[in-house]
Amino acid sequence: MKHLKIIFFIFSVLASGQLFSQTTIDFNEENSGNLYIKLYGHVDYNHKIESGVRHAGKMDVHRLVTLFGYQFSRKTQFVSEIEVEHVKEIFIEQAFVKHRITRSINLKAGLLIVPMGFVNESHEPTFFYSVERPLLDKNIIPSTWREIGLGISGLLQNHNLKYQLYLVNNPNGFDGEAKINGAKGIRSARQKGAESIVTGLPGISGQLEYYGFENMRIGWSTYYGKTNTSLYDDFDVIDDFSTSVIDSSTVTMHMNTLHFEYTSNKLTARYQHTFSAFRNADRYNQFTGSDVPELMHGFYTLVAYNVLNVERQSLEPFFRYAHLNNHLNIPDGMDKKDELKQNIYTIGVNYKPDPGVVFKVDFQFYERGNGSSFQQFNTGIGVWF
Amino acid sequence: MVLIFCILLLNGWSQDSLLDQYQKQTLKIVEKQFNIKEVALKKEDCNFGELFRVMDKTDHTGFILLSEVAACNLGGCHQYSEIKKTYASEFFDLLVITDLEMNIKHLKILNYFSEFGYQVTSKKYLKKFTGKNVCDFLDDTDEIDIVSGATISSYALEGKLAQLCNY
Repeated sequence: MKHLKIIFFIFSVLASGQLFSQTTIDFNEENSGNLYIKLYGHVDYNHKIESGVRHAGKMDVHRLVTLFGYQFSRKTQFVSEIEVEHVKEIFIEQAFVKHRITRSINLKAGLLIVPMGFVNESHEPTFFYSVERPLLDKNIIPSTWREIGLGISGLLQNHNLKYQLYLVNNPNGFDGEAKINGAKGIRSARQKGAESIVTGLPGISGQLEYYGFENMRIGWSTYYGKTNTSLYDDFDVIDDFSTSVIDSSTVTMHMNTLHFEYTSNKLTARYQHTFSAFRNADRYNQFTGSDVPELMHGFYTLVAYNVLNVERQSLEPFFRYAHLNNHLNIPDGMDKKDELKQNIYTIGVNYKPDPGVVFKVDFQFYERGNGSSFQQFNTGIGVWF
Repeated sequence: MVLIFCILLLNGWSQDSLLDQYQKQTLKIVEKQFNIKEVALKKEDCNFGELFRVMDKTDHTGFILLSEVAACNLGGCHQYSEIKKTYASEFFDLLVITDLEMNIKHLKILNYFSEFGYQVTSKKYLKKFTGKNVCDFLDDTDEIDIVSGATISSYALEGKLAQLCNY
């Protein structure tokens, strides 16, 4: 009876029946759940400047995203984001149910964001520094990358680890024409949950993030999957020929990203490096006429410093150096496009009069492997509330 | 044991109480923190959590608070002013152990629900609270930097400690 070493003395409250009374929120039928609404968006101005060439500036309500969430109970919630891009295009960015199974396991299902690096998940304008999202998070990681799927996520608190592991539908690599290319990777192949086709096994997406070091987080994200193809419906007979043709319209992609962030009171430093490998690129290119490489990569490093000492406000000059090479390794016999190797230097300032509002201005210098160069001036405002 | 079980049953032990959910873990930590073998808990009236006096036989040696803390809202968070204990909030379950003077002996986040602001669960960060008095958190001069990436959860945690000071 060693357990008796723990004795609960029942004091005077015993008589009143108040011992261990419930103080947690009571999600009974009358008050269960509640709707929650949030919004983020940004309005941008971009002006490309190139020697000897005239470019018109562009003003754009780039995106406005409304989040509707519903908390059914302490353990179960639904989150959705409805996005309007460029004023006229409507998308769903997320729509999933999350249910807590145990203290370290949540079940998630629906339209899920693929965890990959910083910006794909944390894509609110108050998070990233430049007016536009980093090019790496557009042309290699196709943010906002989301597909329908299910999986688990959670914290392993004793190890200071956050994990996510999902099975999600793969991009559609062929829809009558090539949807994957060297310049923008799988960006055009995203199905975004819109009547998406399934012609193979789901992709595997995972992320591990360690936050045990003070002011620091280090993460690794991975994705592995074979792209879908619309050719499936064109062949009603299963034979070697049709299988071979169908295979020629797909690639198997393996993307890996390492991300690192250090944030103190004043200083923010970020580093992200992504490799994306494409198997079967040679056959895919022959079949579709595309220029998919065997390997593309990109990285950026950013430093920002808050020069204000005002509570809830910040003025952060920043500098970011980015390098992308979307034709790092190419299949034999294919021409390497030097313009897909580029350095981008971005210098700018973010001013937040409140943590939920940001005014941005930056200037970018693009240098490409083929010797061409240009600059771009960007300014914009962003909100998140 | 049977007797204790019966007493608890008769007193309407709620399956939903935080002590019920984290009983084993809590008692183990309390034993270790106070270096006592026979722990007794006396429930106090408290409207912001489950507050107990920790008794070593008949001597009062400290307090423990088990409380839900409203943290990041659904889908993420960035503004402290938004934190309200509404049904639309996500929570973390907090354990605070103090001595008689309300100096913090141990702080633990027992369960963190949100996928945002989870850096607040870092052991390194929570250790910084040890030795501080809960009343240090009535203003912003507690000298503990807000943990990066978890501003809202950090403020919410400190807000809960300030509530304990006002008790």
